[in-house]
Amino acid sequence: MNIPSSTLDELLAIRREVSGRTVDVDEKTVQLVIFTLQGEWLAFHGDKIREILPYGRVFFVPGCPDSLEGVINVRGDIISVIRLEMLLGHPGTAPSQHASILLGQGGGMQSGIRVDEVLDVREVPESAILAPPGTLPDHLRPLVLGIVTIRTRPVLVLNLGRLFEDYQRGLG
Amino acid sequence: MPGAGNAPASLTLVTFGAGTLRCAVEPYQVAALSLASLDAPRDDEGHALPARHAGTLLGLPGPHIATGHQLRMRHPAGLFALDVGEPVALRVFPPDAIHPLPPLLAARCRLPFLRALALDPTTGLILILDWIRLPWPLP
Repeated sequence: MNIPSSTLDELLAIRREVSGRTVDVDEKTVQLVIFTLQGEWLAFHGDKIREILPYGRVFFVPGCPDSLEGVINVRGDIISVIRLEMLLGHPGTAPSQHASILLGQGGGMQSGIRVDEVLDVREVPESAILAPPGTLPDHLRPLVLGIVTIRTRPVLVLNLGRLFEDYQRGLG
Repeated sequence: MPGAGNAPASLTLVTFGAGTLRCAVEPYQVAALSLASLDAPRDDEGHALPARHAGTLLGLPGPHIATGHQLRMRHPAGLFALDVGEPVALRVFPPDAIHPLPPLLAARCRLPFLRALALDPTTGLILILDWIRLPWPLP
């Protein structure tokens, strides 16, 4: 008699597969801060993110492009906040309910970066980060270091230093 | 520490409003504070002065309504009258309340006269302006 496998059986099979995976402890890993932005999953290298702050009061500064949301007070320091979606070619949006500000440093400077939601901070093997796909739009190519799969979703790993340097030169 | 003794112990600023923003200038840039009148502002010799609302110079959306306070500002090219919002005050800030512009903001801000930022525990952010960097004739 052919008995269909139960949900529990399927689940246990998946769990056995996960726990049975061998991990090469000598393989170099890289920490990623994974977040969403307008439905896309993106990441920065963890060593480029100093802090993850809840979205709070952002002071408006006149004369700035829309992509520069304003400045925040971080324990007495004044830090700029940029709207990452506009640097990536998307229209600007209001902060989402779960919005956070990533305090990033790269290219010899630091700035806050508003994102829709931080999903995870995790170590991944360096080998899991693959070369950027050839289908990337031209304007994104210089900003993407690679692509990695997290929870079955493709995640673009962004070059924070390059983003800041390009923004300083007029991107966005 | 060499040079540390030369650091000013505080910074005195004339603070004022512009729309919902708080702004400040160093006192040496202010020649006088007056109540704005309906008549065109004039210097001591009776010459008409150019007049602008602070909100206009900052590029804030209008309309800008004169609130009754006018600063007589010094510029290398001459005096000009600046309509500002209340309260107008002379305030002393400790050095650690004064911040240079963050690098990305300094690179992208289109206001050449925005010099620095100050944090005030009660009013929040204050824009420190240097009207001497304003183009002349005034925009």
